[in-house]
Formats: sequence, C-alpha cells, structure tokens
Amino acid sequence: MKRIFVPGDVDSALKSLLSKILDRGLVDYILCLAPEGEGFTVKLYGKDEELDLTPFAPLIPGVPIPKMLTWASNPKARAKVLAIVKPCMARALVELMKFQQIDQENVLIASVDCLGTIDVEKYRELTESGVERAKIIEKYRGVERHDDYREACKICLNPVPPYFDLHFSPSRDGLYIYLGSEAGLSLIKNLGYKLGDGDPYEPFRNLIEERKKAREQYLSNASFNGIADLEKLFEECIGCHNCMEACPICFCKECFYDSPRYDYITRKFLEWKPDSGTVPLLESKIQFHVGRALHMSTSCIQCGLCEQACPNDVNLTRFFILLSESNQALFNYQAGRSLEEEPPLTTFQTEELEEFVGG
Amino acid sequence: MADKPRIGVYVCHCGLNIAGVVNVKEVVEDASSLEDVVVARDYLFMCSDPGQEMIRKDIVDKGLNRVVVAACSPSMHETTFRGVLREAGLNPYLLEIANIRECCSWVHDDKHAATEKAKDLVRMAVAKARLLEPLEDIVMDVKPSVLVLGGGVSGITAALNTANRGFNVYLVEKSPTLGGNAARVGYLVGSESRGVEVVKKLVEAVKSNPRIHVFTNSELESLDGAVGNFTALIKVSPRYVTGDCTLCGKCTEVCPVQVENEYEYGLNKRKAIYLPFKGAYPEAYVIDGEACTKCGKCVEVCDAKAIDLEQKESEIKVEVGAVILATGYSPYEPAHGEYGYGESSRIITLFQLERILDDDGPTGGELKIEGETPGKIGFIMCVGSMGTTENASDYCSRMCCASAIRNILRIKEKYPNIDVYVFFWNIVTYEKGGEDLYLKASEQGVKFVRVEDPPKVSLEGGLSVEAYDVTLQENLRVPVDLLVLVNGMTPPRDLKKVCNVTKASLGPDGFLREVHLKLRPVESPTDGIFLAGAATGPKNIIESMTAGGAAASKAASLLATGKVTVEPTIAVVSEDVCSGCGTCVKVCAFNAVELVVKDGRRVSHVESLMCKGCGACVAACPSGAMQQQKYTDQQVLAEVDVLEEPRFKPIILSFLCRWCAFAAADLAGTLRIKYPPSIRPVRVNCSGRVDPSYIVRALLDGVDGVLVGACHPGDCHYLEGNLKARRRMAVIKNTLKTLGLEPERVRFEYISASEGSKFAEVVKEFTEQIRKLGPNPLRGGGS
Repeated sequence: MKRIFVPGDVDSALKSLLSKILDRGLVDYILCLAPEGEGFTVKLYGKDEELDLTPFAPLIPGVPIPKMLTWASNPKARAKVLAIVKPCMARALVELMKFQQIDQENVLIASVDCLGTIDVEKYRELTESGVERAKIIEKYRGVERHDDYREACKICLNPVPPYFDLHFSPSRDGLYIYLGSEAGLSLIKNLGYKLGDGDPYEPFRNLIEERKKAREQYLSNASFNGIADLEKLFEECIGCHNCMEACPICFCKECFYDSPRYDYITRKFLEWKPDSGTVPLLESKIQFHVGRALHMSTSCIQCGLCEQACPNDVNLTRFFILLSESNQALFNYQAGRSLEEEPPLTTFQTEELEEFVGG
Repeated sequence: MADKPRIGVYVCHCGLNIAGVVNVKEVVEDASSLEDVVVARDYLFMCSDPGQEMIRKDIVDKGLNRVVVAACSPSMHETTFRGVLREAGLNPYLLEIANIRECCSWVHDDKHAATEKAKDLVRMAVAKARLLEPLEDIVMDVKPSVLVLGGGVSGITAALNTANRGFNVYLVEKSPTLGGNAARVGYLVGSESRGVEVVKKLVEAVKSNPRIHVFTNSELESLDGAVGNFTALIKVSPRYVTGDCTLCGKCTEVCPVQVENEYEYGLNKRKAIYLPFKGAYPEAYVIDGEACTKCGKCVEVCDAKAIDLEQKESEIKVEVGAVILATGYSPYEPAHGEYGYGESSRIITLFQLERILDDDGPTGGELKIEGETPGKIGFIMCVGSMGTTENASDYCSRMCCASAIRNILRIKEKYPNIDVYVFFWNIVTYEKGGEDLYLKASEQGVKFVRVEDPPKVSLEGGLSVEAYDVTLQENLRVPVDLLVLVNGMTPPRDLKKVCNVTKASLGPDGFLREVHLKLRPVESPTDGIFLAGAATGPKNIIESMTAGGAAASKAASLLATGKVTVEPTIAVVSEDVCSGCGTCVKVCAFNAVELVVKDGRRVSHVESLMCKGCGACVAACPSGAMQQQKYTDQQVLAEVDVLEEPRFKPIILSFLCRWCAFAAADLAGTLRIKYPPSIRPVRVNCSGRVDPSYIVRALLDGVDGVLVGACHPGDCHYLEGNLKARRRMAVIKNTLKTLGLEPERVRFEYISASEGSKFAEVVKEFTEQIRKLGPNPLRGGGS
C-alpha cells in the first residue's frame, strides 16, 4: 500500500506531521495517549497546542478511548478527530463504527506498531520502585517478547491492525506512515511528502507465526470443563461490572444486566431455597458474564481490558478470548477486520449452521 | 398499571377433556394460594354462556383487573374471552390463557404429573398476567386511492382493475408514453395482434376512465407514511410540448440533434424532439431534455404553437392508501463482445429482431441486414439467462423461447427460403399452443441444434457459429448472415432507486421480492405495497397482466373496509435507554424501524403500522431498550422464573412460535399423541423473539433443558425470524460448549404447524436425552 517516510527521530517526525495536519485544518483534533503526572492520560490536542503525545508507550489506559470518541459522533458534532490508538483499539473503533457509535466521517483511525502492552498495575509497580516514565517506555521499545506483557498481548496476531486510515511505524532513521484508506490518502497527499509503497505487515511476519503457535497452545489450555471451572474463575468476582465499563465494545447506555430484569442478588436470594444451604451468588455472576458474552463476544477484539479493569484480577482474558475466538469462527467473522463485514447477530444467511438444529 | 393486580383464575373442566386427567380442584386450590390472586374458580365449560358470565360478574363484583383462563389452546378461545373482558369494561389485552388441554390433558396419561404440569402452566400465566398492561388496537382510516408505479401492461391492468372498483388511481410512468416493453413487441404468440395493439386497447380503457390520472415523464420522488396512509411525491419532468400538438411532425424534421432511439433498441436514431412510436399515449411529441440544445428550430416551424421550451419540472403530492409497483424489466443487454455483440451489425438481439419484423419498425417490416435479405439466420438461445455464460443470470426468462420461435415462424412465412439454425440448451415453450410452435418450426425445416456449452461466434472471413451438437455428437460450424441473440429479462436498471424510495426489498435475483411465492405472490413484505408483473421476475404478457389484476384485487381488499387494524403486539422503544446502534433497523424484515435524531441523539423509532410484532428487534437489542407489547422481557422472564420450583423432573422450558411450533403442539393434542409431561411451553409470536439470555436464565433457574421450536426455513410467518433465531441458538449452544456446560440441554428444532407427531417425537427424544444427562448442575449457579 502507499506510504510516506518522515526522516529524523520518531517523536519529532510525528510531531511535525501532526502539526501540519492540524495547521491546515485537515482535522480539528488529535486524540492520543499523553503523559500526565507520573503516568498517562488521553488528551485531545487542537491547533497550536503543544504535541507532547506518547502514542508508542506500552500501555492502554483504563479509560476506554472508543467511548471517549462517541461525542464526535453526535449528529450535531462538527469536529473531525484523528485518533491515534493501539491496533486493538483501532479494531474496536471499526466495530463501533458498524454500530453507529463512532462516526466514520468524523473519526479517522491512526494505529501504531504494537508489540505488547503492560498492565497499569505493572506500570505503577515500576514507577513506585523509582523507574521514570521515559525509562519505562524505553524498556519495552522494540521488544517483541516480554514476560511483563499482558496475557492478551502475548498471543495477539495484530501488531498492525487489518484496517486503518493511517498507521505509524517507527524505524531506526525515521517514521513510516502507511495510508490504509482513501481517507488516509486524502489526509496526507497534499502535505508535500513523497508517496512510496510498502507493506506494514512485513516486519512482523515471523512474530505473527510464532504467536500463532502460542495462541493455539493458549486456546487449548484455556478450555473450561464445566461449572466447577467457572466457579473457580469467578471466585473473586464481586459483581462490580467494571469489566463491562472498561470494555471498548460494550456501548449500551444501560446494560441489560444492570436492569431490574436481571436483578438477582436481592430478589433471588430471598426467594430461592438452596438445596445445600450455600449462598447462590454464583448465579448472578454467571448470568452477567455469560449474558454479556452472548451480546458482545461476536465483536470482542480480545484486548483484555476487562481483566485489566477488574479490581480482583479475575482471569477474564481467558474467558473472553476463548468465547470470542469460538463464536466469531462460527461465522467466519473477525472483529475489527473490515467495515464491510456485518456483525454476525445483525444478519443471517439462508443456509447455514444446520449442525445446531435438532438433536 | 399503578393499582395492585387483582387476578381472577378460571379453570375449565371442558367436560372430561381436561377434568378426566387433570385434577381441576387441586389446580384451583394451588392458584388461590398465589399472591395477587383474588378469586379462583372452576367450571364445566368456561367458554359457554354461564362460564363467560361467571367471569364477567367477577370482574365487576370483585374489581378484577387481570384474568387468567386455564382451558383449551388460545387459538380456540382467546378471542372469545377477550370479548368477555371487553363486555365487563376491562381492556381485552389483560387476559392470559394457560393451555391445559391441547398441551396437557390431551397428551399425558399420568394424572398426577399432568395435574402438576397444569399447576405450573397456571402459575406461569399468573406471573405474566401480573405484568400485563392495557393495550389499544391500532385502527386507522385509509385513503381510498392507489398509486401505480409503471405504465406497462401490468401497471395499466392494475390501474383499470383498481379504478373499476371505485378507487382513484394515479398511474405514474417514467418514460413519455404508456405501454412499456410490450408496446415494442411484434406479433404475439397465438394471435394476429401486435404488442402495440394490445397496449392501444388498454389505453382506450384508461382514457375513458375518469378515475385514472396518468402521469408520464414522471417518477416517484418519495413515499412517506404507512399502509392506508401513504404520501407520495411525484416529480413530473417537462415534455416541453403541450396538448395542442397536432402530430404534424414538422418539428422532428428540422431538429438538428440525433440520439440513439431506445424505442427501436438502438437500431436507428431519433431526434431530440420526437414521437416515441405510433400509438404512444399521450398522443403528442416530446422533447428529450438531456439531448435538446434549445436551438429553437422546432418552435419556429410549429404551427400549433405547442412547444414551450421554458416548461419547468413540477412536483405533485398525492395521498394514497396503497401502492402497486409494476416496474417491469429491462431486456438483457449482452456485453460488448459477448457472442460478438457490438462488433458487427449482423449480430442483433431478439428485441431488435422484433422491431425489424414490425411493419412500423425501422425497416418497414423488411428483413434486411446491410441492405440484403439474409440467407441463413442463427439463433443462440438463453442469452443472459439460465447460467449459460458467466454474466448470465441463473433464472429462465420464460418468454424468450416462444418469442424466438414465433418470430422464426413469421420469418419462414414471409421468406420460406431462409435457413434457420437454433442453438439451444432447452426449448421451453410452455404456454397454450406452445408445443405447436416447436413442431411447426421443425416441420418447416428449422434446424434445432442442442448444445451444452456456449457456441463460439467468429467474424473472421464472415460471420459463423461453432458449436458441439450434443445429439449428433459432432462439432458444427455454421456460417450465417444474421445472428440473433435471444436475450432474456433483467431487473430494470434503476430499480435500486425505486427500492430506496419505497423500501421494497429485492430478491436474490435482483427483482422485487414477494412475501410468499405461492400464498402471497403479489404482496411485498411492506404492508400496503403490492407487486405486479415482471417486477417480481420474468413473465410473459399474459402472466404480467394477470398479476396486475391480482395486485389490484389485493389493494382493493385492503382499502375496501375503509380502515386498517394492527394487533398491538408491536415493538416499542425506550428512547432513554436506546444507544442508536441500528441493530434493530438491520434486523427488521419489514422496514418498520428507522433511526431518527432526537435531542441531538440518534435513537430508534418504530412505525407502528408497519410493525408485524415478530419481536426480532427485541431479541436483537442488547440493552433491552426495544420491548414488545404483551411480550416484554419482564413478562417472558416472569413465566420462565416460575420454573425455579419445579414439580417434576426433568423440566424442559419450551419457547414455541405461535404460527408453527405451538400449532404443532396443539395438533399433537388434537390427535391425542402422548408424550412425557416435561415440557413447559411459552408461546411467542416468532422464534426470532427468543433472547439467548432467557436460556441462560432458565438454566440457572434450574430447568433441565430448553427447547426452541421454529418454522422450517422459508415458512416463517415473519419471513426470516427463524433464520435469525438459528444464529442466536448457534451462539448460545457454542458458548455453552466452549464453557463445558452441556450444550445438549439446549435444542433448536424446525417444527411446522402440521407436524404434530414430530413435536411429540422431539419431546420424547429430548426428554430421554435430558433424563440421561441428569439434573442440571447449573441450578442456582452450581453450589
């Protein structure tokens, strides 16, 4: 695909490109990971603002970037935003565009090379032990395998997302910017850079092959064998629903399972007579997690933010990666792969899935 | 309802039909013990006058505001008991029926088990009744007018038949003349009339009918509203020629512009100001706005002063109760180079041949190509149809075999010495006298060459056709002077625009889609929009006109009573909760839902007159913002939750679609086919209404299995609700499987209304399977 090359150190190259884009009013804002205090936040940069952004930092903040962008999709909004995100978040944006939560016209997706991210808790551990932010970014820059990487990252096959408008790929002597769509091309073509050709996936072919094997291994080890396994998994779940709040895909204004319809704890606890005398709190946990999976597993991008957000570190990565892998495979669907693919539960085919009919 | 529910429960003996198996007194006693049940009674025949009176009296005396009747299937007496409520001054939708006859006493031998099941069914009905809300039938006045889109033979027939029944008709045609493709067809099969003569007769009838208003050179710009009350905006493009035109033709002589003549399928040219053909209606010249250079030469020579180059486009708004789409077809246009088309004037299409043989055609009826009468003519059949070539459609275009042979016979009649070769896959002359056509042609020496692969056409050293004759098992190479490509029908080129405006849907072949090929062939899925003629697929003139009459009949039936009623089991949106994701819009087969902007937010809106009440959008809505009146999540879950105190193991919750699976259960009852008393049926309008979350809920409640009964694919009353359900069932089963949670406890079956014994078999088999699996370990979450 088409690409441009901006020589120099990556951060300055990126800044100069983005300044040009903002100056010419090609977009109104840039949304990106940025430093704050000892850690990070997500900032919205307008024209003439200092671009102190850190898109390559090995972190996905707790606040769901896609949810922050829904304001740009309000029918009254006139702002155009370039969102610089990790590949998994780029895939989330694609899914949300299909559900009309993010406006395709107003939001341009820019992804970055990503080899893995660390958990926010790990980050805190490092800063508390005296390591500075800049050093932490350096520690993981260009590192393809690291024990500190999150579970979801270790088996991620998308260091570059399948769909993007722009993709930033740092190299030793500069920054490559790949133009993945017409919108991306229009943004860059009049800025005075020379257009070349390249394949953003090329540098990662070996890594992806390696991770495919790790992924297969992970999926077979991760399998569940009945209620006892689920019980163990959700032992520490307190029903706070933070996983749902952090999930980039969960866009409902009111979660089905927050409504009184699925209000188990008070009502059921009072009415239900347990056979063995033990407390049936597991019922509501299963209804919530399985129910949420029924709704969003076909669009799950396997980012693992659910587990990152969980106060008790319930191993939701395993639960959701397993379910989403299996449920999406039913329809030959991959979340975030293409804007043209209809989310499985919004459509159907005349002939399919007969193996699920009958005994 | 703000008041506390005051429920009356009425258990029917139905003579011994119910009471012979179910202990009615026990059921009454159990019902009385339920919260909110103010009175519980039994009676011999609840549907009888005294039975109905008992209910009516209780409603009035005891201030009941909900009624549960445990008796025969709701398909028998739901209407009867709704009438009782109405008479007592209560909203008729505050009634719930428990089917303890067809679904219980008639199908179980074990009296104890049947009684326990009946108690469960009553409890389920009571749980739902608590949550029922009063609902109003949706009744609207209709407009006694119809808009017919398309002025071909099917559209004109539809217009005449509608107008003759007393309705106003707006006949809208996009070209400058009525008649469509039929007006350009030559002599018709089995008759001495040409297409244009048939059209003339139809047009005479239109002219003399004051109820038909004709708009030519016009298009349907927009169509708003719903069945019974559509508002249509008709855009009339200027003709630039007024009604004063005397048809003298001086204008056309002086016009300097020449363009391809679409009325002769490109065989010659016409001027920018032209008369479409002899017999066109309105009988006046017309200026092609796009070709005209406004030079004004025509104005100078027009004695009648009938030309007005300043004429502007106009828009006309009409209000109609129904719309008939008679948009016809376009002849298949072979690609450049397909069988050599476009590379030689000796290669023409069937439609062009019709024009050449027509006395009023570009050659005056003389069969001449490049100035000479051809000695040998080749016909290649099925061009663009039957999947014979890569860009051909799969379907048969029906009219081409007969048309081609009819033209061959006319050629042989006039030019007996011309040799004709027909390269065909199958000859399908199916209409009256069709076989005779083929026999006559054979007798006159027409050579029919059967092929299995497309013939090769070569222009080197003269035109020739090469093909492998399957009968002779030989390669033939036939030099010809004229090659006719017998092309079929394709959807009209601008059909997409019609679909956008009318929200009509297309079938897989690209033509307009009818609801059911046999049962409802002239109805579109959108209520109030009917389909006529080749708009739904290839048809000959007879079939098109028949369909036009049928569509008129349907439209008239709709409008005859002056009112249209919609059952209030429709979908409603809670706008606060709706996130505007559009899933409901995608899932609705009837275009009844759209996204609108309210308070700066995109939210869903249901057009109640178009909603059929299938509930697919409700099941698809992840947040529960979409609910179905009388089948809300709360109401359905209330029924499901009753089963957390099971009275018989195993217990199988069963969602049955009202039109098929539930009817099958009723049939099993009518036929007294016995099956185990494990099933607890919950009736829904469509299997598409079943939310997989209910299944998880039910399993956690402790039911041992869940059965979802749906229509067979293709039979769904709501078109594809069962196919949507199938995807959801795949997801829930796959999810259970992935989690190691016994997906066999959930079963999805196609059971049609006539498959009573299949229903019983499925229940038997499933019950046995569940029995073997043992009690559900998920109950209460496991611990």
